[in-house]
Amino acid sequence: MRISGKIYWLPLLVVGLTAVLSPYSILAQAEKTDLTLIVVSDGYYNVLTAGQEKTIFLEIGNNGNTELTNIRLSADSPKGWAVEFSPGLIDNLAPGSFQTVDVILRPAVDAEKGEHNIALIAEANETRRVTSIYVRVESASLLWVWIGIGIAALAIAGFVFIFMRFGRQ
Amino acid sequence: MIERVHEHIISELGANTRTDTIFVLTAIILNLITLGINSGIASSEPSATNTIVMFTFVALIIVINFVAEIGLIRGRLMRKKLLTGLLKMYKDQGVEGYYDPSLLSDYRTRYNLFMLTVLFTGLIAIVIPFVIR
Repeated sequence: MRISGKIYWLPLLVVGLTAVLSPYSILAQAEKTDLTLIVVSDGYYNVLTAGQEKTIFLEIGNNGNTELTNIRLSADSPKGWAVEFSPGLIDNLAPGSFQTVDVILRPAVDAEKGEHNIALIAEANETRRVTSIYVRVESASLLWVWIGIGIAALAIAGFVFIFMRFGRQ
Repeated sequence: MIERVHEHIISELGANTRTDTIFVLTAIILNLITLGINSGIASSEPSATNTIVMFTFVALIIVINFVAEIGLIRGRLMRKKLLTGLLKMYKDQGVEGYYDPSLLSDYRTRYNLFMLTVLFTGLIAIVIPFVIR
């Protein structure tokens, strides 16, 4: 009788000790959704040329413990700009996994020179995440450089003239 | 009388040096200031007003540099004339051995270097803002 009594209490003792020492292994985990967006860039600014496209990379990660489904990618960019994602839709992303997406940025031909902010939006069925990137647009036209060179050339010609004109004894 | 003429030539040489120094320093300083202003304008938002202001400063650079270059060319010629007269005077007095005539060509070289410095700071002040823009 005494031996069978010990056997009866043994499983209860094991379960009790396990529950006390590692409660999280017993309790059911709460569902957690965490979508991360990381822009893979070689600097703080992405330098773009007006009218010319540039590809940057966006790493999308699922740091939660539930699968994310139907992740749609979009962008909020200045007027006249085009932002494309490849792929533009991720069907599902398992917990702990990442996927890299190509982001093709194409500023307008007449895009203003300077810094611009672009919001990148990832929207899954379960959650949504927005991140922003700063891009710097440089002018593709060399018109002003040529104007400067032209004025400098005229100035040099003028100096040569005054040197010859006023340099005589 | 010859002593008065000698003093006069010496004082003219001194005035010539001061005037040329003012020309060189003013031109270089104004070129650098204008370079800073125009670079600031060029890197700001492009607008018609900014462009007009920039071109006005470019015109100012050109005028200042032309004036400085003409002043320096004239200063060089004046110095040459004064020194030639001085040398002739020394020769007449039989003391020409104390004044090396090669100093004339040294002054010429120095003036050419001053003019090049003014010219290139002016060119940089013109071109750099357009490159930034």
